[in-house]
Amino acid sequence: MSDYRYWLATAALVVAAPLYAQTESSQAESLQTESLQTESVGSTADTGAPREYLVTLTRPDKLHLIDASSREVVRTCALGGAFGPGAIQLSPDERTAYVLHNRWEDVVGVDLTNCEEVFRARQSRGNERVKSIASLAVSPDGSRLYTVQNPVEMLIDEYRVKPPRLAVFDTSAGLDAEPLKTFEVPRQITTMATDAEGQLYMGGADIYRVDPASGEVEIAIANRHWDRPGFSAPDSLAMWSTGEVADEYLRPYTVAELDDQGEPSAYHWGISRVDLTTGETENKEIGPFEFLIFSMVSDPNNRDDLYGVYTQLSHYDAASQELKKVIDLDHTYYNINSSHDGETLYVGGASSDIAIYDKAFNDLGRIELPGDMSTATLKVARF
Amino acid sequence: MNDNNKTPKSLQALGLTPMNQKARRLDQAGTMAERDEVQAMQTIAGCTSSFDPGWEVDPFGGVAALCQPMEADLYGCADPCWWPAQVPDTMNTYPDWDKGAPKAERDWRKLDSVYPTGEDS
Repeated sequence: MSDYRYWLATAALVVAAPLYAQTESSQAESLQTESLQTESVGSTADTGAPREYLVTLTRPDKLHLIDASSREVVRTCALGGAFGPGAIQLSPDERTAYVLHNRWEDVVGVDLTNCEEVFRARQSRGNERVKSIASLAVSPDGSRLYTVQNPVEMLIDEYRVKPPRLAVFDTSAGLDAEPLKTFEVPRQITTMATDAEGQLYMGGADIYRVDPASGEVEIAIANRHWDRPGFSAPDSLAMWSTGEVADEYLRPYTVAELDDQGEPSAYHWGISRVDLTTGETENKEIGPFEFLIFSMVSDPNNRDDLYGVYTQLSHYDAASQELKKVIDLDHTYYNINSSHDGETLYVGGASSDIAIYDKAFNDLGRIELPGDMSTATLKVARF
Repeated sequence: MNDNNKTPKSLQALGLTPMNQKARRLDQAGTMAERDEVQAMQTIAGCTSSFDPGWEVDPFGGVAALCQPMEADLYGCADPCWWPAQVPDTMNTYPDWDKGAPKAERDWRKLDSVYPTGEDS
């Protein structure tokens, strides 16, 4: 993952242990967690306003609910099974987290208010091994869950790669869910999202719009197949779905601008974006490509203000295509997210701490976690 | 002339040396069609065919843009089968490599070397 060319071009042990609330170490800590949980989970007692939480996964199997105000872990749920990749999507009421887990094979639904396991789909069956490469989405009414399955038939003397398929699950199907239906889809799908009308967006070589009822696929935003004289094809890394605050699907890309001889004359960062309220799409450059970024998030109050993270934390103004500010971080982080008021930035993934900054990049502290987040998503939930 | 009947270049002519049974069979194939019969995919030791030079250089030709420190990125490479020659892949081939070591920066001493198994080892 140390390279921006990280583009997952291809793409179990199943432990169905019941979920339980726990902490990593002492009983005292466990009691403290229970106390925090009783006081903190759900809307604030004084105003009735929803609380804001961070939701992420650490290895081997710990799903954490973190109060964004107190910066305390208020609940830890053990999912059972093995880590990977920790891609997370939330139900519309944001009380249920769906986690792609167990070496990229299972989807586990967890009630964040009590750690109850409410959904599980084991995608591998028989001699067919199925991996989903961070592709996970939930319909706007919460009734359907979508994955893109990358199946491989495990034969005696060979592995036979089968076409990838979109799988549609009923979220009320319980702990042994099977797809209601599947549709063959293009290869290389990673991040996904649904808009208010229920259309599904899938990030692959291009960004596709899919009708989940019929399986019909069209290109919503052309990337590999864009027709832009004077520009190279773009290159994207897409592992983390974190557009829930600004209600958008966002995928950054890098691109070379070409001179008359077809040689690169400048390099840019750009974004492909779908407004998940209106379904409107855009594709544009936002500033110079001078360092790597693994994920971006926009300011929910001004979507042309974009923040990126990797070993630097950066701020771009897409309107002027300027890099407004950049700072070096303590270490590499993969995933960035924003508070709903747009005032606070959270960076996580990779190692075992979440770093907190304000929009001016003042350091507001760290949240230490018991294991590495690796490729896990850092989601922001409100309930 | 049909391309399938063409004599393929030897692996040595391509700068490659066959190191196992599958690779030797690939080299012995007399035509392109026969070469296609060899299930070369099975010669891959990890779970992916992606193989970049590794952690040595970044896309700018330096090292400043590599993940810092390496431990922060260790599982980010192992989990998605990235660069399997440098890091055992936990997705398929070495699923328990990280057992008892949830925090690479603290637990890296517990991570051991791995060795291929099977007839081609």
